[in-house]
Amino acid sequence: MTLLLAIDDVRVSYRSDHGLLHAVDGVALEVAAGTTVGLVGESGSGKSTLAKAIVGLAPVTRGAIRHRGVDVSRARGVQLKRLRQSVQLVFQDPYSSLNPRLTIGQLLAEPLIEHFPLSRSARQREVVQLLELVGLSAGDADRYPFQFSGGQRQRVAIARALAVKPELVIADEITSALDVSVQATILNLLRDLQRETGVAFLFISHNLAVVRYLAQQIAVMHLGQVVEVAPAQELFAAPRHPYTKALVDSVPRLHRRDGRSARVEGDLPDPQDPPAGCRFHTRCPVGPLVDPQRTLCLTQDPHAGATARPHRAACHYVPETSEELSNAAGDRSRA
Amino acid sequence: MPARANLTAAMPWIRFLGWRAARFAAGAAFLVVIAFAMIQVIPGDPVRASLGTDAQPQVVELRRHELHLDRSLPVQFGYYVRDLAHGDFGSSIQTGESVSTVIRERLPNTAELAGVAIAFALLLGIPLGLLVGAWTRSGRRRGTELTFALGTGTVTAIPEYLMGTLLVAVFGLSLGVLPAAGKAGPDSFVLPALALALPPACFLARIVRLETVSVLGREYMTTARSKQLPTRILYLRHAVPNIMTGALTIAGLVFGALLGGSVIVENVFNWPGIGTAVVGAILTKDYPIVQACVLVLGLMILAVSTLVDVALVLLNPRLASLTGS
Amino acid sequence: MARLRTRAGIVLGSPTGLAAALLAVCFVAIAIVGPSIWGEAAMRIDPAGAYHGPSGGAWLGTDGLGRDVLARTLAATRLSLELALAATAIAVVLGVPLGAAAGIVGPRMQRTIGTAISFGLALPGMLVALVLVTIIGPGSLGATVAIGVALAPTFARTAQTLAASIAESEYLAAARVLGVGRRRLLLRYVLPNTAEPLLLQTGVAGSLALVLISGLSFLGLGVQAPSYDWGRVLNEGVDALYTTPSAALGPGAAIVLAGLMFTFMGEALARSMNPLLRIGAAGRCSGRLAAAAASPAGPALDAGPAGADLATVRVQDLHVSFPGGSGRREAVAGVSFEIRPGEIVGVVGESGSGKSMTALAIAGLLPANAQATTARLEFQGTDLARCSPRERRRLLGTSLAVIFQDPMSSLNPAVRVGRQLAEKLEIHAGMSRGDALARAEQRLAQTHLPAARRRLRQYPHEFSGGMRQRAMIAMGLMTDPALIVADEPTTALDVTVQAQILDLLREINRRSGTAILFISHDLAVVTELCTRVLVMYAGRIVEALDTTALDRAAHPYTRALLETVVDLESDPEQPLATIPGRPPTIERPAAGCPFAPRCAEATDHCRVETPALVPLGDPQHLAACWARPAGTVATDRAPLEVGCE
Repeated sequence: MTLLLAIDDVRVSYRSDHGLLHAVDGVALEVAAGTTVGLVGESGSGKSTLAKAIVGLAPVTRGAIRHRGVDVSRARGVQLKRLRQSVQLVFQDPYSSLNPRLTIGQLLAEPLIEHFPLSRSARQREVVQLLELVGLSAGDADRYPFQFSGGQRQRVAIARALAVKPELVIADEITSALDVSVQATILNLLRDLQRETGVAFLFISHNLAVVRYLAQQIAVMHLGQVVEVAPAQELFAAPRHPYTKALVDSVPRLHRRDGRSARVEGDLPDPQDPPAGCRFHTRCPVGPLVDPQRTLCLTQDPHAGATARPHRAACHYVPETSEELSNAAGDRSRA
Repeated sequence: MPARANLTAAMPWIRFLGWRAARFAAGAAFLVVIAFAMIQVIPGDPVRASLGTDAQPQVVELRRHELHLDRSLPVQFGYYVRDLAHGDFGSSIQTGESVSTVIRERLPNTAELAGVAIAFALLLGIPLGLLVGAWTRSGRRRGTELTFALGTGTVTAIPEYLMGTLLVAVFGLSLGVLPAAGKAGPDSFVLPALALALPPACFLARIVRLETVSVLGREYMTTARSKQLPTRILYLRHAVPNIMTGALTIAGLVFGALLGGSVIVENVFNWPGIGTAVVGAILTKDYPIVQACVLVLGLMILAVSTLVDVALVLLNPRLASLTGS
Repeated sequence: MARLRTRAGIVLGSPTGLAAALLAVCFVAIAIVGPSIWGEAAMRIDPAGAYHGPSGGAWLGTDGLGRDVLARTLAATRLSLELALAATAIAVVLGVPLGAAAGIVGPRMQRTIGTAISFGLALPGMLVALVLVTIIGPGSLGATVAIGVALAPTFARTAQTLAASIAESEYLAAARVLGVGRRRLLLRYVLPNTAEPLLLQTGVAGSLALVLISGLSFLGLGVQAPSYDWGRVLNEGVDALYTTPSAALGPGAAIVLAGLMFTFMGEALARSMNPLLRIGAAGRCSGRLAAAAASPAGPALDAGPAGADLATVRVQDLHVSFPGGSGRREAVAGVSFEIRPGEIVGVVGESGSGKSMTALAIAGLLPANAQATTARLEFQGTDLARCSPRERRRLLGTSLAVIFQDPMSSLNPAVRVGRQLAEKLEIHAGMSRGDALARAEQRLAQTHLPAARRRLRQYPHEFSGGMRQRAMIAMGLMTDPALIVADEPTTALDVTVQAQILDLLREINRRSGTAILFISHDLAVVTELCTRVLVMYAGRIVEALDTTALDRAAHPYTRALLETVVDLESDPEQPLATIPGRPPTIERPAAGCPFAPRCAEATDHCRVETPALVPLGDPQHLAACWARPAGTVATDRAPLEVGCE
């Protein structure tokens, strides 16, 4: 499988009044062509910042982002343009990501004008095709964004991203601002699009259930770091990192038999000043708060030692033996 | 650890006050430079321009020497700043009289008038805005809203000199109830202060009304209502502090404009203040007086703006944490 | 699709725009022909006829030199308008590029320019004008340049703010990601979005320039004799004030009217740039009231089980409506239910279902323009509709607590958290400040908020979202309420924090027996926490059942909702179930069953008559669907006003 994108130990830092904020601090991730990789995390995890860094909207201060082997993290000019033809981004808020002064047709034509030398009529045909691809109609091209609902606007945003025929589309929380029933239609659309056009997705969301539905591979982020990466089914069947476990456990369920087993204590630490050692240790349900013998969590960042297997987790006390693994799997299936 | 807690609690305050004082000082310094540079930029010889072409050469030379115009630029600036530090604003080109005396006589009059006008504007504008805002929130009483908008809109459109003229014509002349000119006793304050205060008061009322309607619709007001608090506490403790933040910010700008308008109003009412002095001085090209008046007026405005900023932070301590920008 | 209105159509369509256009036409006409028609009369000196009042020959009288004031005023139009426009132009040309540059250069330059602009703004125009007039010398040129420079900072500040906000806007970022070039970005994205505020500003500046230049002329510092503008004519008229007040009236009125013209023109042109207004009334929601079917009565509540009086809340036939396009719109259309002590009742629905309004109606917190009627609204046995306001306030203040969705905005940013918690007890229980604060600390600790005492003295902005929600819960617990009304309390929170808050609510319910009314759009969350679920659609309850009975949900909408939930059991291989169509907006109330347009089982009967909420075999399970029949006893509703605020 072709590797479209390889994120290699990337750090994105911002300077603020209180010092340096590492919104993304050493992230490694891969996206293969035609697949969907899910990126989950809560507020302060840095997932949106990572998305911006990939398309050049945020500065990469360390590490490399490789597109088909070429480092594009500091791309400029022609190289940047070529990257943009291959990797696109759809934003969360359908109300502010569309220029309110342009019609839908004009909005969709913008990327076509920049990247493809087409005649006017050819362009208009392309615009109609794009509209139909996302389930809208040709007549919508003459209307303004404010005449559409949130779900429809998000479709326009998706169509616009697809206009350059990209290989990878990053969807940054694109369903979070929508009604639950509209969310389902957008998710179905993404599935169909991948099947029809073979486009890859990097699907970013805080909603685990949605990510599980769409993605084949899932990475979990916490305070700027990736704490676990696994194939989707495995992540939910046998999560390894305590944060992942707590996250999966927190997802509301229609049919929950037992109570919650893993609870996250307290509030998110200040991203400006993350805890020393493992960043999760102040809230970890199996960490030094609960088990004082686990002092390693206080001093050493497990991130550095995370093993590079298909399923890797950044924790000092991850179950290694198959026995422990199956026990964990048993817990999950009973829940 | 109460002592330590108090210090860390006071830190944002100290930072803010320091920052604000520094800004004031910078502003004042800038004004000094402008006041000084003003004269230098005038084409030709300022003294001769003031005294006219048929002035006696000796007098011209004397004035030029008094103003240090025969020295180099940095030296002149040095003299200027040194004199300022001693409260010496130089001497009038026309009369040779000490400008400091002029300022000393006239500044209190301007300050008093401006003070009364600001008080009027606040006392008229803010309560009016609050009341109408409370009455017309959530789209109630459209008629009141319209009347209010038209009324205040019309008054804000009338410039102070026109307002002054109208007031004089109606109250001073036709009805003869209030003095039409000059400063003589509390009566004479009324018309000029109103002329200065009415347009800003209406403007303030409009802004305060908008703020009130906006604040009353916020979710924390619903929370406060959910506690079934008496109306008095609802408004005074919960609504007003938030309304005043927006209102004071605008008020600060309005006061600056008011002080600027006092220049004109003083001339309409023949008020013996900085305004009348500066206009006369511009017409006779008596530059030292112009310099001094501009400097003094500018400092007054900066002082008012600083006071408003401090009042804002007192009202809403959260603003102190923001790096006073 | 409705045809878009033209820009001119929008300008002339509003009262201010029309007024501006008329005034502009008049003024421009007078400005053009003025000097030729009245110029001569304006300059004709007649010492004998000085200071005469209005007469046939001179409608506004004569000034000190016997000149016709009206003629002078009219002839002065051209110069006055020209100077004002020139000054405005100077202000725009100086201010806008400076401010725009400040918005897009690096941070250090930005701060320098920003400070300079702030300083320029702090000094009033008059002061700056005086300095410049001193330098350039009194006269038309001096006055115009002076006012132009004085007004530049306002444009600079507006341009800077606009540039900064557009630079940060998401649609610009999106355009950059698409690879749109610099030139297109400027022309299609930046400029059109700056037009509105800048046009508005220009109108205001024009009016201000006119007023200020006339002011300078009035002082003698502006236009010099023999030229004359309105300010100068006014100056000459002031001398005549004692004998002919009308001499001041003419130019004064001209200044005010022209000023208004500039302001209105700016407003109207700005509005014409707004694409929202280009759609005429036909293109927007029409708001025609469909024929309202007679709303059927709810199920009988007096024939309830013994001990029904112990219900914490009993609502019968609640209606909440708002003023709309033509008539009123119903957000809640006949809702009846009860909450027993210690029960956790969940209300589920999409946006527009009326679930929030129902909760607000019970808590007495409906917005001012809402109208509510109900047959019965009992809280702990007292009918809130019929009791005295004082009794109502006491009851709701002590036995009811409310938690809202957005923790960021539901606490007052200007009042300390401790105060906000304590005041409930100070008012309703007459406690001293110290005692109330002690209780507040206790309650905060109960919500697992660390360092409770320190938190009391802090302001809400020092709390995170989860902490604020805990503070809200603590605030509700202060008076040991019988009922907590929670309107989407966890929607804005991270999922792990949501889990904590849900656990907290469950703990409170278990420990103190507090009933909870939990509103959410998330069915999964509701089933986790609640014992009973009410499903709302388009202002009505369509199904009421125990959580354990969800598998046997009867109403087609409930079943559809259950199927569209994306949870950890959804099959990734299958497409997600969706409900066709969209929920009815409050603008278009439907006739018959509101769900009929989207329902697979809808019949003609469904489209005509609204089904009543009736028990299905099990008295705890009710549904409103013609396809799920059962017997019922009807009661009549008598509308009563429920006081709001």
